[in-house]
Amino acid sequence: MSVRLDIPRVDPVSFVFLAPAALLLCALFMGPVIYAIYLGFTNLQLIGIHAINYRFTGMSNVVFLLHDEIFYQSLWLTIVFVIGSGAIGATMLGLVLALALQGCMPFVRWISSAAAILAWTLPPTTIAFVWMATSTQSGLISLLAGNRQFDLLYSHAMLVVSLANAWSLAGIAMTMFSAALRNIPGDLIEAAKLEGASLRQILTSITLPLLKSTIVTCALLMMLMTFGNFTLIYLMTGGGPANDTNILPVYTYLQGFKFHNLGYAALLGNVVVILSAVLGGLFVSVTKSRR
Amino acid sequence: MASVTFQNVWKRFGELTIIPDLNLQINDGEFIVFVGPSGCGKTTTLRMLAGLETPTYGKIFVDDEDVTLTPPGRRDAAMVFQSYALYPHMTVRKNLAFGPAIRGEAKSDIARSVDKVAQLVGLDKLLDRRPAELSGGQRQRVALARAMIRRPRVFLLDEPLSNLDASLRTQMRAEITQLQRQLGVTTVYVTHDQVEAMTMGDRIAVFDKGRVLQVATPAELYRSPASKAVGTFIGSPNMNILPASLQHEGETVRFDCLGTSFGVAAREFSGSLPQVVELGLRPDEIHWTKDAPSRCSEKISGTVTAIETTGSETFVLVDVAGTLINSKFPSFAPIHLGDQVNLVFDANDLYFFDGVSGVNLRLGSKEPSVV
Repeated sequence: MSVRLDIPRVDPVSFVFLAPAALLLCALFMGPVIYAIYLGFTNLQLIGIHAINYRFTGMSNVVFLLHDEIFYQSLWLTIVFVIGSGAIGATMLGLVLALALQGCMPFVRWISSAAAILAWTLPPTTIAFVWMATSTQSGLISLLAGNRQFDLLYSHAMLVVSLANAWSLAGIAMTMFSAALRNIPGDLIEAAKLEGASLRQILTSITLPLLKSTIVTCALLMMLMTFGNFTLIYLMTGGGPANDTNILPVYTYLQGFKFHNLGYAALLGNVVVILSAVLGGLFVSVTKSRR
Repeated sequence: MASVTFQNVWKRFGELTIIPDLNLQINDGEFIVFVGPSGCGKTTTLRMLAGLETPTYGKIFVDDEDVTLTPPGRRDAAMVFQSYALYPHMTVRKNLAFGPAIRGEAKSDIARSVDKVAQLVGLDKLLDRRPAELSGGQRQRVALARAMIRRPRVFLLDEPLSNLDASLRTQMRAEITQLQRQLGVTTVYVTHDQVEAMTMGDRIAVFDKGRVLQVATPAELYRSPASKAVGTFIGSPNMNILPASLQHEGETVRFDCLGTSFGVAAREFSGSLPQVVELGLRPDEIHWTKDAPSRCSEKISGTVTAIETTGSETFVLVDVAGTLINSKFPSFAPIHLGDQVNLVFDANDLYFFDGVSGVNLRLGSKEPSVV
C-alpha cells in the first residue's frame, strides 16, 4: 500500500516558513499574556515599595478575590450587562430594525441603515456624551418627563448604560440580520401567503426559525463586543454610582490604577480573559458547526 | 373546481409592459398548459392568478367571483413553485400540515389528510425527514402533496419539473397528469418545454412576448398552428421554414420552392395571398428518397452538413441552395457528411405562412388539395 494522498500531509519545510510568525506571536502576544498571568500572583503595586520590589505571593491574591464582595457584585453586573444589553438588547434591536426596514422604500432604508451604522462607528466618547446629555439632569429625558431634576443616569445607571451599549451595537446586528433576511428565498414567503398565513404567522413559523442560526451567532458576537465595552461605562459612570455599573473590566481598571493594586488587578484581568475566552470559543464553535 | 377568466389583463413593471391585454378563458376541471420561451409572460400570468402579482389593469375571475384584488391566501389556489419552496426547517409532515394548521383545521383531521395525501404520492415512508434529506424527485412530490392537501379551486404549477433529470421528468409528467385526472381540479401548468405541454395539457396556450398566440388542444396546435411562431415552437425538432415565390394561375396558385414547383387550389387560402410567403415543413414530413412514401412528389437536393443520431431515428441537416433543412432519416442510414442527397416531400404536408406577419394562410383542414 502506498501513502494516502487524500489526507492532510505535512512538509517539514513549512515549519521553517511559519517560524517568523510564530516567533512574533510568542514574543508580542504569548509572552505578555504569560507575564500578566504571573503578575496576578504577585504583590505588585503601582506606587510605593512594592512597585519595584514585588514578589510572588502564591495564592494570597486568589484568597482575597474569593472573599472580595465587590468582585462577586462585579461579576454579577458583568453577566447582567453582557446578557441584557448584548445578547438581548442589541440583538433584538438589530432584528427589529432589519425586519422593519426589509420591505420599506429604498430611500428610507438607506437613510435608516446609514444612521444605525453611523451609531456603531461613532467613538465611545461621543456615544457616552450623547447618552449623558440625554439622560442626566436637564437632559432630554428629564425635559420630556417635566422634571429638570430627574437624573435617569443616576437613578437607573445600569439601564442607561445598557441602552447606550445596545444602541451603539444595533447597527452591526442589523447589518447581519438584513443579510440573513435577504438569503431567505422569496418563494418560501409566497408559499406561506398562498396558504393564507398572516404576517405574524409567517414571522413566527417561517422567518424566525430560518434566522435561528443568525440569531445565535449575532447574540454571541454582541456579547463579545459588549464584554469589551469598557470605555463607554467608564466614561459615563466610572463604575458608579455606588458600584451600580462596576462591571469586571471597570473594576479591574479601578483596582489597578485608582487603588494601585496592580497585582490584584492582573488577577482580575485573568478572570476577564478566561470569561472572554469561553465566550470566544463558544462563538467559534457555533459559527463553525453551521458550515 | 372552478373556471378562470382573464379579462383585458395588463401587467407593467415600471414602464415595461410584460403583458398587453390578455384575454383567456380556462374551463372548469381543465388541465391547461402555458407554454412559451422564457420571458414571454407565462409565469407572470400564473402569479397574477395566484395573487402574488397585481395586474396593472383588467380583471381576473374565478368562477363568477372577481379576485383581481383578493389577497393570495383567500383565493383558494395552491401552487407548486419551480424551486418547490419547501420549508427547510420543517419535516415533510410539518410541511404538509402547515397550510391546514394555518387554516385552523382540527389536529386529527390534519393527521388523516397528511397520511392520505402522502400515500397518494408515495411519501408515506419519508414523513419524518427534512427536505434536505430528500432527493430531487421526492422534494418535487412533497411540493405536489403540499399543494394537493388543501383541495384547492385552482391548482397552479410553475415549471415544476425543470429541476429533475430526464427520466424522472418523463415519469413525473405521467404522474401529474394522472393525479389531475383523478382529482379533477382546474390546473394551470407553466412550462417552457413544448414536449411537456404536448403530452400533459388538455389545452395549450402558447405565449410569446406577453401575448397569447393560440389556445388549442395539442393536436390542433400541431396540425394547424395559427402562425409561424406557433408552428416553429411546437414540435421537436423545429419545423423547417422554406423560402418560396408564388404566381397566380387562374384557380390555382403556383409555388416555386428550392427548385421544385407545385400548384395549390386558390380556394384553400383564406382571403388574398400576400406577396411574400414562407412554407413550413416538419422534419418528419421531408423524406430521404430511399425511404419515402409514394405520395411524395416534390424533390429537392442538397449537401449533408450535420448528422444527429438518437438511436431510434437520425436527423440530417441538409443544405439546399443555402437553406438548412432538417430531415428525418431512418436510424443509422448510411449517410456521411458532405454527401449529396435527394429529399422528397408531399405538398399537402406544407404549412403556408405570410412572409411578413407569419399568419397561417391555410387554416382548417389538411385534406389533399394539390392540383
